[in-house]
Amino acid sequence: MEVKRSSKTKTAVSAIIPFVLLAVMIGYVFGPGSELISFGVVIPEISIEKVEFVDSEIIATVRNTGPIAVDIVMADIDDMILPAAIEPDKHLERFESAIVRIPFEWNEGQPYAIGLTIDDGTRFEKRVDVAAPSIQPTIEMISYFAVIGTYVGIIPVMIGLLWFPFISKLSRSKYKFFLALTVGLLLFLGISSAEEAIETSAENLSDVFNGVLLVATVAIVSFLALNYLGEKLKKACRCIKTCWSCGNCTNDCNWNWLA
Amino acid sequence: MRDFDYGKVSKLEDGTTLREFTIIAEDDKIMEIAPGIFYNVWTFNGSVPGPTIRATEGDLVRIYFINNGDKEHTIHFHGNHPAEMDGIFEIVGSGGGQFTYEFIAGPVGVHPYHCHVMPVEEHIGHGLYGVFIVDPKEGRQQADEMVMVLNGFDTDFDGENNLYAANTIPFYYQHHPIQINMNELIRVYVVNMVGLDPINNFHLHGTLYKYYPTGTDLVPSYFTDMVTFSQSERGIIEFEYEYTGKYMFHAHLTEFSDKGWTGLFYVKDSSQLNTEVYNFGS
Repeated sequence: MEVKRSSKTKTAVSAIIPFVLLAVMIGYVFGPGSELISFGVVIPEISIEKVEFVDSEIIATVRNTGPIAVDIVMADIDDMILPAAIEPDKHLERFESAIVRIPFEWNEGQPYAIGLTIDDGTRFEKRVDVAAPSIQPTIEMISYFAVIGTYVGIIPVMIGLLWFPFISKLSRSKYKFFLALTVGLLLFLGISSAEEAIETSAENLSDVFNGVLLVATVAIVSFLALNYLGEKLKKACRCIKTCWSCGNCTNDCNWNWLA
Repeated sequence: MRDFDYGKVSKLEDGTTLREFTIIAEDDKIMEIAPGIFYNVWTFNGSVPGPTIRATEGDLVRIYFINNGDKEHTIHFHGNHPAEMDGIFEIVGSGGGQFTYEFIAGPVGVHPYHCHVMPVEEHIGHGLYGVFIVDPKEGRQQADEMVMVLNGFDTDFDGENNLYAANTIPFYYQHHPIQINMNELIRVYVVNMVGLDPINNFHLHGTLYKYYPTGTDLVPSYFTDMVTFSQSERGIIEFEYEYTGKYMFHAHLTEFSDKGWTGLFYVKDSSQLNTEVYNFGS
């Protein structure tokens, strides 16, 4: 049915108006400069996201995950106040991150507590259970990991593909058995990785990023994205097949499938 | 912030031996107690530690105390005084309450004074303390004198001190060494006001010192380079250096020295000793 152009715009505008009004109201009540509703004392927070041990130095990556801007003013290892450098500067706006470099002769295998103090005196600490030299990206490392990847990834998959003749000759029920086994294995791996992802996020990620929700969202979005790509590829495949078989490449083929 | 202080005494002399002092308590100052760290300090006369009050034994000391803070405060002196002047039960109200403490200065020695309103740990921990020195009538030997209050701050309120110092600023005397002369008698009035930790100590490099506990005797009790203090323990330390150079002094509790309670004496060789006479209002 033909919809007149002007009423389409009218529909669009009527959809947006309530949101605009809502935004204005929220801005008025909660926005900067308003004092209508105050939620009590604001507590600053920083998270130390990563701690690296390099030659005679400990490098901590810190991010401001609290509601107000802070200054990082003091660094200590195991409560010993040490001179340290911070890059780019000690003032962190919300969600800004910085690198703190503390010159320190650390011992391998020992646990350390890295503390950072902000300008109002609050100290935030991250404990490292075992100090180990961090891995630097070099050509050697990359080639080493490439070799391992081949041994652990490519070769077993190749060996697995050699099983294809056997599988293709199986009866329906036996084939279903192997399929079920695979699905079960994948489910186990999926749940175990989800568990580990949630654990890692709880340890290293600040609450403000909501680790559990992040894991769930990424999983679902990846699934949907892969599904969508899969459908598109199947359609493209069918297009190509009809092209070759009857030489007719025009019907039900939308070659803009990538767009 | 208080630097070291040659017994800087604000005294107004009136008649023969009356000394009057005015001390104002405030609890809303935010000061930078370490580079970058801003802490709400509660102060006597705007500094932590508060003013060093000095009198000679037998003087009548009168202190006008004004409380300009939001909380109740008092001044409790260690020393001899009547019960009404103790600063315990006579709570001075906030926002301008006044009280006049009056007593005869005694006994001879070095004593702390501090706020004694509950919770006392909180009032002391935020900075309401100072030193009260009573000199013997015959005076002590001529010396280069200084006052050191050993204190600490718990800036994140977790029950553990984050910073330690001599005279409030961590590492201050390490970055600004105290200059003294070779072969000159040095006298330090040391008062320990570190709360939350049971003990503190004072270790001196390069020489040993004579220690007068609480300063009550003119004869030293120890000759050592390490003396241990609990909270509000204090004494007089006297020493001389034979050689020039930099000498550390610090808590030998390395946890405290790593958190700021460490400093340096820089001993110079001056061909003549300073012969200034320190006139303490006699």
